[in-house]
Formats: sequence, C-alpha cells, structure tokens
Amino acid sequence: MTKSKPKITVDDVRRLGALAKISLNSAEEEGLRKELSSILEYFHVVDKVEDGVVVDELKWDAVSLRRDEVGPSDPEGVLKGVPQRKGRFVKAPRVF
Amino acid sequence: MGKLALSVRETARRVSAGEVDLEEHVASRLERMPRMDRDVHAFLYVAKEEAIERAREIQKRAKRGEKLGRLAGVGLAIKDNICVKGMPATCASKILEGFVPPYDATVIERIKREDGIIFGKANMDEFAMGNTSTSGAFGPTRNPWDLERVAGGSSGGSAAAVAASMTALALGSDTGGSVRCPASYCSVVGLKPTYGAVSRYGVVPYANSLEQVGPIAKRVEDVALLFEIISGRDARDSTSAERTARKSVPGTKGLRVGLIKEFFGEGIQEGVKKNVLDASAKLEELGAHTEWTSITSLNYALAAYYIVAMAEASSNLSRYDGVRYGASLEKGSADWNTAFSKTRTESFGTEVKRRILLGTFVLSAGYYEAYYLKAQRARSLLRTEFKKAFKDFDVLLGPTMPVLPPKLGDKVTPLEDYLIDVNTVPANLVGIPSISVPAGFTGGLPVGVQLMAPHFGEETLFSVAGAYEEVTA
Repeated sequence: MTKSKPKITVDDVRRLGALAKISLNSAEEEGLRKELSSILEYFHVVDKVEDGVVVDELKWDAVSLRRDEVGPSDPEGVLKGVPQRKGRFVKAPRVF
Repeated sequence: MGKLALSVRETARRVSAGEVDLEEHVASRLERMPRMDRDVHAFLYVAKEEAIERAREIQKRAKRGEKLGRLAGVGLAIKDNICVKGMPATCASKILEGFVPPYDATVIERIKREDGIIFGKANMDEFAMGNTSTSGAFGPTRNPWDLERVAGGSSGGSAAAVAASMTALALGSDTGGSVRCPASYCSVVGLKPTYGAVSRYGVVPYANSLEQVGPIAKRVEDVALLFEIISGRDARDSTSAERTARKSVPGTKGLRVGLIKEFFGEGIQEGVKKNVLDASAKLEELGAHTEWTSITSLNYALAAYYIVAMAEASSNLSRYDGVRYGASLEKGSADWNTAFSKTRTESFGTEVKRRILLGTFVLSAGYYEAYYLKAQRARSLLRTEFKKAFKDFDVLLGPTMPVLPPKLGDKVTPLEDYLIDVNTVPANLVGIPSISVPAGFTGGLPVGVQLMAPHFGEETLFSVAGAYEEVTA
C-alpha cells in the first residue's frame, strides 16, 4: 500500500531541500510547507485513477540509436565556459 | 493586422531577387531594437553585430545569383532556452549567467541553413516554468497590446517580439502550453508540434517527455513554413521522428469539429467563451459540423501534468552545480555539498525551487506510487480517450486560455497560477499537435482559440486555422 495524503512538515521541507541541494531559511521553510501542502492536496485528484490502468509506453517506429562513431568536437569551446579551470582541467570543490 | 505585413515567403523572395538592401534594412532595424523593446522587454540579448554580419553575407550571395534559403533575410527571435552558438543562453536564470553555448541546437542549424537571421534571444519564465514571463531573473516581458498586462509564458518574449513586429518569426518551447499561452495573450499564431516532430537537441531540458520547440508568427502560413523547416528526424535526438507522409487534409467543408465540454466549464471568463464559440460558428459557416463532446479524464490532466513535469524538472535541474558552466558562487575551499548548495540557493528563483522540491517529493520513496505512477496512469487514460475522440472528430476545439491576460503584479497563489494551464497541458500529456489562433478581442484584450489534431496532424491544423484566419484576420 502507498502512503497517501501526507501532512507536510517543516522537517519534510528541510529534508527535500537537503536532497535537492537548496538551503532554506525558516521563513521559506514555513512558506513552502503551506504551499506544498495545498499543491499536493490538489494532486490527489489522481487517486481516483484505477490501479488497473496500464501505463503505456510511447512507441516510436523511428526510434533508433545513432552509430557509435567519433564526430567532430570542440574541447576548447566547451572548456571556455568552465567557471574555474586549471589548464585543461575543470576545478571542482573538494569531495573529502 | 496580419495582412498588412509581408509574408515570410514574400520577404525571402524579395531578398533573393536583390530587391532589398538587406544589410541596410537589418542594421537600421537592429539599431532601433533597444528603443522598440524598451517597454515590452521581449529580448534578453539583441544580436546586432551577428545579425548585420549575417545580412551582409546573405546579400553577397544574392548578388552572386546564388539560390537562397526559404527564410532568406527573415528575422527571428529565439527563446533563451534554445542554444545559438556564440550567443548567451540564460533561460532567464542567474544560474546560467555567463553561459555561451559553443554549438547550435538542431532547430537553429536548420534555420541558418535556410538563411534566417537571428535578431536575438527572447525573454521567458525562468527555465520555462510559468505562464506569465515575469519569473525570469532579468525582468518581466509586457504585453504589447496592454503594457500593464503579462505577455503570457513561458515563451512571452518570443510571442511579444512577433506581436510588436520586432521580428517576423519566433521560436518558443511548449512543455504545458508555453507557446500557445503567450500566442493567445499576444494575438499571434503559435504551434505546439506533435511530440517527436521537432528535435530537442540543444534545447535546455525542463520536462523531456512533454516539451517541443514550436514556431510563432502573425499568420498561419508562416508558422507552417517554419514548422516545415525545423521538423524531421535528427540522429542526435532519439525521440525525434521522421515526418510521416502527409495524410489527406480535410478542408473545412464537412470537417468534424469536437467542442470539448470540459474546456468551457468552471473558471472560463465570459468574454473568452463568447469569442471562442463565435470562432466555432465561423467554422460552421465554412461548412464544418461542430458538436459538443466530453473527455472525462481531462479532470486528471492538470494534476498529472504538474506531477510529471516537476518530477522530470527535479532530475533535469540537478545538473546545475556551478562546476562545468554557468554561475559558480563558491570559489573558496568549501566542500562540494556546501559549494553546490550555495550556487543553487542563490541562483535559482522561487518558482524553480518550488518545482524542484515538489518533484523531489513526488519521486521519493513511499510517495512514488501515490503520485508519479498515478499520474502516468492518468496520462494513459487521456491518450486512450483522445484517440477515441479522434475517431469521431478531425479536430478538437476550445479556448487556449480560460482567461484574458492578467495584470502584472496580480497576486495569486502558486496553485491558482497552475490552474490556468488547464486547457493547454492535455496536448502535451497526449503528445498531439495543437495550435492557438487569434480569435479577436474582448474588452480590448486578445483571445485565442485552440485546435488539436491527432499525432502528426499538423497539416490539418494549418488547413483549418488558415481557412479561419482567411475570413477573420
């Protein structure tokens, strides 16, 4: 069984923020708690859709993968947009 | 108004025949652009130098007697979520400030191949999330018909540029109505093509299973031409499809038109309803048979749309971390978690954050079945019901937007704002083509009528919309 009609708490909002890498102050957390609750309540209109309905996949006769061949590329053009670089390397924040 | 302007075909013909001093024309147009656009703010970037250079080159080729493309010398506004090599692509977001794509989207390659000239990048709602073009980080677009009102969204800059005659053509993108809504509010023609008809390569993704790039112009004929140019299979987008052979297109005589009952229900403004019913009566005069019909699963469409779109958005927008491109606000020695959070927190706008959080929620463990899976089931029901409806009708008709363009600064809750997308989202969920055509004015404000056809039925839409335009524009 699925949980339905959850009550969104400030803790939930904070957890979502952490998952999505978005920090929120306490006023934003409270504002979002209210907004998210009313939007999610509206979403429950889909509860009435029966579980027996089969989810059909979009089928495209035309779908085919392109050949795995090396094409022209522009490494310098791509690197130009990198905010922080060290020569040909992309500088990223430390992981440990 | 539409009939006064030259058609795109005629402009291209004159340019090809050397009847126009193209460089001079483009230079003076682009010179005046910042002044023309001061009040409307359709553009985030005006490509003056690039456009003049391109005009010069096209003119040279015309002089040499070379055969030019079908858009020879025609100016276009390109929504800022579509990559044009060497021009900024911000999606009206601070998080993409400074990003200049090193490549062209497929649709841009195709436009350039036909000698179209890009006049600039058009304003929009941040990451295409909205129906007003007021949520962007660089200021709102205003409606050229009434500067106190919104231009619609999210492709508001594209529609406003065409409505204000700053460009003859524009490209927008439509995930849940983002081409048709501003087309309706600005009294221009806008098409949401069949899913897969147009390549999405080089288009910044918001909700991949729903969105399509769509053309905007003052007249149906020009929308049809631009669609013909940008559509077709692209090896770089595996969801793109070759255009199937043109099906026989019904004329308006004997055309079976279904009026969708649910589109005329609660929430529709009287003036909008009247104009749209007048449009339907006009089609009757042209020999069509109109009949009321009901699609009951439309009741689920809005919720299903927002669940699917937000889920896809939360995944798509996780790529913005300030490392490879765009804004990067943490240049110190912070760990990755802190650095990513800082950039994302300070660079995304309110609506984008709201949708990312909701999308994260509906995909999270324990809730996936209650929201995402249910929404997918609703989507299947809608597909089935529309398929059935198209056995009885050649096209389905209704208002594009249930309301007239709202005033800038009107206070509504996020949910109230989502609700006005109710008539446009079904075509995206089902994947069918849909066009918004001007249906006159009420109280001085534009109304749009929406026509929908079965998958790859664009030609039918052009034929019906064209016939309607012929007797009304």
